[in-house]
Amino acid sequence: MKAGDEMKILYMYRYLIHGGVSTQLVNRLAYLKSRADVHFVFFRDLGGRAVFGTYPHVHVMNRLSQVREYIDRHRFDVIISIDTEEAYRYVDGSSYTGKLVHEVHSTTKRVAYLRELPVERVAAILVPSVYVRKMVQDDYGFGERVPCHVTPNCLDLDRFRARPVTGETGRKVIAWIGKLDEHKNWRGFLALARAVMQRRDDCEFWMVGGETAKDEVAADLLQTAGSYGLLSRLRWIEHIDYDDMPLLYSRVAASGGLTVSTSQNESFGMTLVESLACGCPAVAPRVGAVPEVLGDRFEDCLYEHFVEEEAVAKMVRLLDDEGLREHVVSAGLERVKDFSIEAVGEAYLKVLQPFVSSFDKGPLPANGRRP
Amino acid sequence: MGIFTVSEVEGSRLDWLLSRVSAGYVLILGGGRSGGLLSLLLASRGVDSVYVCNDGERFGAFEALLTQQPSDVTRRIQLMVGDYTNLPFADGVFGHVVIGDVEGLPQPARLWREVKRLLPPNGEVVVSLPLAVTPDGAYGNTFYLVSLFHELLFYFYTRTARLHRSHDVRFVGRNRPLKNSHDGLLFDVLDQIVRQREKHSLRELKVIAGHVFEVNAKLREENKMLRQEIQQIVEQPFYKRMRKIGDVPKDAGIAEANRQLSEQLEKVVAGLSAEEAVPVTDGYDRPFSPPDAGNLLDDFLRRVHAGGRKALYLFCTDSPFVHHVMHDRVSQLARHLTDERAAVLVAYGDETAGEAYPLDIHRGLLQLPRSVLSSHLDRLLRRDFGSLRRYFVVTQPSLASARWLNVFKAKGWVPVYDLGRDWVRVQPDAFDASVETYVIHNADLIVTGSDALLEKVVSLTKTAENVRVVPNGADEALLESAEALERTGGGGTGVTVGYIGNLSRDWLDWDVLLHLARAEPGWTFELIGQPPFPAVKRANVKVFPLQGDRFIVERAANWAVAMLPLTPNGQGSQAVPEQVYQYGALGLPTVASEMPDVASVPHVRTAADAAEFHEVLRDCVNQSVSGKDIRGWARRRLWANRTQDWLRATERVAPKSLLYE
Repeated sequence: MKAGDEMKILYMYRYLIHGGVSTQLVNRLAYLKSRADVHFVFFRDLGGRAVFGTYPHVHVMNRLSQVREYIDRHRFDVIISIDTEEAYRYVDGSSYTGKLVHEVHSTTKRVAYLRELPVERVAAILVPSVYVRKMVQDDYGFGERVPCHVTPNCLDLDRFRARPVTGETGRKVIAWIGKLDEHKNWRGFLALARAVMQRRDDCEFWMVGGETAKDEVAADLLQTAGSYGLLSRLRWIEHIDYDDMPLLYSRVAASGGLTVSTSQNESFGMTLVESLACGCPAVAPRVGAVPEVLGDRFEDCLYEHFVEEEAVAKMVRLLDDEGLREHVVSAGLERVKDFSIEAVGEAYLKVLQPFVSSFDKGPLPANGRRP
Repeated sequence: MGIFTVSEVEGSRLDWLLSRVSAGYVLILGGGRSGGLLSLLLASRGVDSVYVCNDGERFGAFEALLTQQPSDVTRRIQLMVGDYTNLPFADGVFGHVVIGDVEGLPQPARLWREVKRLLPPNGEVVVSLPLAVTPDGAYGNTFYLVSLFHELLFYFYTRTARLHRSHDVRFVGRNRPLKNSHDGLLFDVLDQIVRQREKHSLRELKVIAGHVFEVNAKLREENKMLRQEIQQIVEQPFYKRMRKIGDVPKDAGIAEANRQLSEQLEKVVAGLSAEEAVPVTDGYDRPFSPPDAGNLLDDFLRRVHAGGRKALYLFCTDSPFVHHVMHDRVSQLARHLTDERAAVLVAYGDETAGEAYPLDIHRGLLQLPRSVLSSHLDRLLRRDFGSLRRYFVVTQPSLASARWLNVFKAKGWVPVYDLGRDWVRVQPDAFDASVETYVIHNADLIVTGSDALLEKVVSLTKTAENVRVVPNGADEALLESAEALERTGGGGTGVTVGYIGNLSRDWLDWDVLLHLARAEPGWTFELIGQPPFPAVKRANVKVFPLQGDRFIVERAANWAVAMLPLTPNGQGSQAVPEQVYQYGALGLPTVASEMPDVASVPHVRTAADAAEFHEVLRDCVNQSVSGKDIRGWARRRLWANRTQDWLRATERVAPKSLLYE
């Protein structure tokens, strides 16, 4: 890449989903789009196109020839695979001869694919937290063989802020956000909800997400909630527009409620950051990167995973103790500044620069711009 | 019978068909005018028939002819628009199936499978297809015709197959196991068709200027391919063996070959390998997904905006609106809401998504399969409706409804649960109590079909604040049609008892019905309903597919009494079923299974078991009841008024979005 050229980046990810990695890519795009030419190739559309709004370079394609032709045509400076090991197969056979940057966001058992990753093809590994770096280097044996950089997730703080909310829900809302899978541990949330219900009558429980869950899981959710006596207090919103999430957090905060996570593990804990950015207290287990991301001022919000008593006690205290709520909200608003798009974006771009492919892309066309 | 003229060819065809089909219950598929004339000729000989076309416009001229016929002829004929490959009749219900010109059918195997299903063992399929020659290069017809006959091989025992006077392909097949049954007859005909087609074309093409050479060359090329295909089939080992099996003495080798052959054929017949056996397929089985569903939805929403509709109701339901002929609650509400200048979008169950129902019913009513709407949900959820009130109406406690309920509420739609019957009791296998409890607690308004259902809701919510009762009702159009036609039923002999509704064993108590049919062999029991259709073996029980009001009124005019023998599940509605109002509109005294809500209806008498049902039914048959009085009861309970109550109940609920004010 010559000086003055716009860096041309291709992200490859398996699923175009609503939320999760797609959300993170959109946040990152907000910073990158004025500084780089960013393209996205997803292998399968699971309904996440709307997240990218009208941004043009978002493609779903999965034929080898199609992807290779796209890569050949656009002559990218850097290709980034996000937890997508098959990206290497797609890139092989294209004119891109450089190494790939590999991002690791997953902490589920799926991350075991790292053991099979073609290390010689990886220029660097980017991870959202020190916790994941340690996991990659120690548990998956990368050690120092490949440079591994921490580039945290980022959040659009102009969008994620406390919104004025009028009207009352009548009850304090305890909200849980995530996919209905074992990793996010939706059953754990229902167990916490039952425990809270046994102690007090002024709460209701919102579960947000799960649109891709199979009907069997959905039926299981409602039956479990039924067996816990929660159906009169449960609201399950399987899909919510990302644009509406700040409203959701604000509504929960205004009710005097909070968000709670029951995840088995987290590479970052994005919903906690979103919640805090909107002035909504959050309670989470001490798993994965959660303690690191929250920092040291949130001891009152963390519980030992699977220790229901501790979780419920901390939730109840945050529901009732106005002083503590104010402290958490204020500390949260301070902490989330570290994850603003600008703060993270600048650092991210710096990390990428050295890995921009040095392969010869051939002379530029006469107009000086690449297609 | 009136006078109509037929050409020599048509006359010959009709003569032949009448010689093959002279008794029993006959199904006529396609055939244009000839199909209609055949049904008339059969009716004049006392044979009942159903004449099905896949395009209602084809009935046009025939319907006019039908109106000139006496009622004892017309009552033996049912006209029906339907999909030849998916017909709403019970297994084995027709003695003969006549196939006329069914052009436009891309996958013949589906037709033969369906015909086989509709015939009893040894029932006959009678095919008469014109070998028409069009001089415009539509030589694809030949291929289609050959494919159509080729498929017969797998389904029917060939009794006769011939090319009549070079213009009519005639075939009679018997529905029986195929083992040892095939001969070369059909293939000879196929070959004749090809040759004949070529000859015709050459003759016809002589008169066409221009592209003769090109078309002729293509035709020859195609015919060459067809001959090769026929040759390949004839040379297949299993075909050769089939020809031999009848002649060769049994030994181990042949027995084994025979066994394998039988297995292979059974597989084919069962449809397991039908796809492999189909030479001409065009992705016919692909799931229904109207390519322009997004545009349809956009257009509909634009109309909703522009048309000054006062509210938009999204009904999340299992049945498509086409079931309005059932007078079911959802369809009646949907239809009457549009009369009240509301717009209605029906998202119907995916289990029916493979069927091509009309989508854009009229300006104010669009229906889409749930899965199709699901992929366009953003268009609905993200649209700025301004001040237009929007309601998400759950009509059955399905998981799909529960999943969408709060998604819509988050966007400012008012969730309404219309509890027309106690679904969890009526269909415990389909509906889960926890899902219903969830829906009840999350809906902003619950409309029940009865006080009993209101009590059920209150037992869960502990309050009746958000609950309103709107019972089922009668349809005014049906009532007026019935009033216009004098009812002739009743009397001690030649009695006809009728039933309209779901015919499945989960709902209709077939034990009671068959008990009645056995006990009164001189009576006729006419059932009009929707699938699934259990096979009916009794001569005095007739099953008719669901049709429009005209058909219902005409049939019911001959009924002495209507009946509602329901299974214990069916009795669990906890509301007066729609049929009671339907029978009321038809002016029919009714005997029903014991249901608490029905007991108070004046024209309904109830019975606890089959014996009592029989006794009460006999009583009703022998009593003279005023149809006018019964219709008067129905007139005071019209759906138009019910819908206004329903509308008012929804309008009273202020939208409370989970997120927005």
